[in-house]
Amino acid sequence: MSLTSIEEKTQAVTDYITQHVMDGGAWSLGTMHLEFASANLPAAFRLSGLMSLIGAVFLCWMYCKVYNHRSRVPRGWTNVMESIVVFVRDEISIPYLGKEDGRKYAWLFLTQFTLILTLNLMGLIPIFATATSSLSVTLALAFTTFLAMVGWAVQRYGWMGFFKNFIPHGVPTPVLFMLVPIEIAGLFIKTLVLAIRLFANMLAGHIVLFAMIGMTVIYGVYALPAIGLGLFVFFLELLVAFLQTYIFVMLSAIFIGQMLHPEH
Amino acid sequence: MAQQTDHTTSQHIEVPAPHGDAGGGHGPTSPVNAAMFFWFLTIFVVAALILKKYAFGPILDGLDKREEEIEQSLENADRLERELATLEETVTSKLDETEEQVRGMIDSGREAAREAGKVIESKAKEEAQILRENANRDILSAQGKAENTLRAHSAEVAVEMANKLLRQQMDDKGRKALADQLIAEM
Repeated sequence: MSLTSIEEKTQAVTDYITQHVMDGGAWSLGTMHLEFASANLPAAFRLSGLMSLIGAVFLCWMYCKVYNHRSRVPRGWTNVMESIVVFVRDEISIPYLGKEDGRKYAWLFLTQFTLILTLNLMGLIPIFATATSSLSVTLALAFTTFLAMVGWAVQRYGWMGFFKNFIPHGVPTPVLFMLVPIEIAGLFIKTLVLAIRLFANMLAGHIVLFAMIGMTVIYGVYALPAIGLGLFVFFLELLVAFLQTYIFVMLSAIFIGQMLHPEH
Repeated sequence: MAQQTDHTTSQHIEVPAPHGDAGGGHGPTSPVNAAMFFWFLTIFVVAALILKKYAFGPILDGLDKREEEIEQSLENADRLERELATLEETVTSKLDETEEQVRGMIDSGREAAREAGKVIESKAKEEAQILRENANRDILSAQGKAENTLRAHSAEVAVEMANKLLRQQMDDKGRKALADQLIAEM
């Protein structure tokens, strides 16, 4: 194996990883390449956009068609999907928003949870890519939390009440000049951190996973132990996919709950 | 990031530069693509609306309804259990009461049977006594009759024997033999 061929292989692997985890203009399906950019399609129809669309359509199909709404005793996929609904409602929505608000706004957390989970898991299937490793996508997701935080708080307390909630009780007036801007900035920082956390975790995990597998392409049988390591990282990524989904939605619920119940 | 991707892929896979950042991004070096941001936001909103109306809304309502039914069923089961316990208590007390009554009835029945037995026994004894007396009386009467008949017949025989003895002149031997014959015939 000459040095040039190793360099070429390394470059090919790097290209594949980059294309898989980043928001490229082509979708590699084995030997076939779908090139979106060259077809003069809008920028939104790039890999992450397409993966998001496929994920959302799949999700709607699963919950609207595969889920058996008529069964009194859920079985199979209906049971799995219902378990997710019950988990999000009982473990995320109600504990952080209260019984009434938790039931009322559960649909947002359910949409976030199922969509993020679908997109995260799609990244582990070789022919798909990870939409959540795009910062644009995670920012849009975090923006939905931001909209809910502001929108539902304003709906409940009005604009004046919304801003009053940033003023802590019993704090001297001069301190407020420093504290209120920090609180308001915190609103944006929370949203931004939410987006970056998901983006970084999904990006890093997939890069490591594909790097391990890519080593066998570059070094052949000498890198076989990397397959075992890659398998380990794959299961780790599976865990991370669920864990990051849970963390994102749980933090969304905490932030929205703080805005709706500032007294707590 | 998108630029970097396309830069790397253009070397080998020959993917032309995307139009992403031209669609309203933060500039060529920005990792955020505004068009992608709004595209995903649109997908999310549409998916959320569809799922809320056709999936999560009905599922959450169904879950609430099912939980309500289960809660109601549990309450009903508790109520029924309490009712059953009360009924069991009533049944037990009724059974005890009935057992007591039955025991009383058996005792009084046994007493009555004993009394009836005594009455029957005394009556039977009386009747037996009467029958015995009647039988004795009949025996005595029959015996009297027999004795009378025997007496009459003996008298007749004796008369007849005397007649025969008188009519026949015999010696002492012959008289004795005749007497023995007559006695044997009698």
